Amino acid sequence: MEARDVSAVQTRAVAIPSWLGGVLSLLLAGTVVYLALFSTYPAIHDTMHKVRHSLAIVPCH
Amino acid sequence: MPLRLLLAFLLLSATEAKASPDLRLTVDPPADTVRPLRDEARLTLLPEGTAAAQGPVRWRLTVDLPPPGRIFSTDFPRIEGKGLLDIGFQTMGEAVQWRMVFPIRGRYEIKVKSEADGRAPVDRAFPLEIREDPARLLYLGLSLAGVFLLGCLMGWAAPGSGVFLAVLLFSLSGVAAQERMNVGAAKVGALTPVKLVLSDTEASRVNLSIVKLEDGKRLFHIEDVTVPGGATWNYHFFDGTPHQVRASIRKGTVLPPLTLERDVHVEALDPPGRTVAVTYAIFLVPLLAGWLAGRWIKRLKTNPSLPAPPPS
Repeated sequence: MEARDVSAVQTRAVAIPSWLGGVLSLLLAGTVVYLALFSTYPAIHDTMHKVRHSLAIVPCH
Repeated sequence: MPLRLLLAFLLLSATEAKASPDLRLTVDPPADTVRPLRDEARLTLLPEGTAAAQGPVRWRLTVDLPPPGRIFSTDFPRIEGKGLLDIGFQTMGEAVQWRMVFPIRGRYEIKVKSEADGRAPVDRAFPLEIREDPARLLYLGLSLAGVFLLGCLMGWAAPGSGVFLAVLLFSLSGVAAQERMNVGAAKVGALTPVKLVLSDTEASRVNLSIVKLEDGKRLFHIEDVTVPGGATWNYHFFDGTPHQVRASIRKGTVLPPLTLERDVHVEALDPPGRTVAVTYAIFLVPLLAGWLAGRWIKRLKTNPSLPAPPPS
């Protein structure tokens, strides 16, 4: 009987086309900037409150 | 001719009797050094000329916030172009002093109306320019540079780096007596009435302060004014955090002052969508520029270093 290691994690490489990676990375960076500076979600807003006020042009209220 | 002279004399006399003092507004520290939200400024109105009244003077004081800018918002876009303060009170004599914090940069309009027996009413407006805090502009520049670097990193690292992308995406998924004070429902974007009711109409001296509880910062303070019978003052709570209004009422010189305090919950409002969109676009410019720079650097590094094909 063949023993199998059930705890092994299967990994699979996924090739991302260059153009798609570029677009996704840009979208990701844009999302990060939006969440950090403009999100009204309370947990993010409260964490970033002082930072937003210290940037002169970022609307907070 | 004598009739004309007589008329001119009578007109001149009437003007003299109705003369009003010119008012001068002083700001301490000087207005060009006061920074929004950071510094408390002491503002003093002083009479100039000889027509100042010695008895009670009735005042109406309003402070209007700067209008919105064309492109760049402030951190409180909901309050731009609206009123900050609207109060009425009495003083003995022509001088008034109050302290306040200016919430945003720009050109404020301080309007003063005063009336007293024996002189003409005064109606003056004082424009006051408050400049942005240089430290904030520095932080803004640094953050824009940071956004550029973020874009640069993403543009450089993205192609063929699915693991890096996946990691980032994963991390993303994760009182007493009869005196009383009432404060209306406070909401950012509108003046809130602060109603002070006094049990008698005699001149009780009132001190009033508005404090932001988040950091204990005093946003407004006026003292030694009288409001016979009470008054309704209006203040614009510009920050959606808890505040406290404190009034101290002193009757005569013997009794200790009566202190009234009211905690105020201020309803916050999200900034207008258009303002968010414009400011977000400002941040996207360096992000996109950085991303393009990153792609360009990546291409420079890969293409010229391709190994030459082996000779056949």
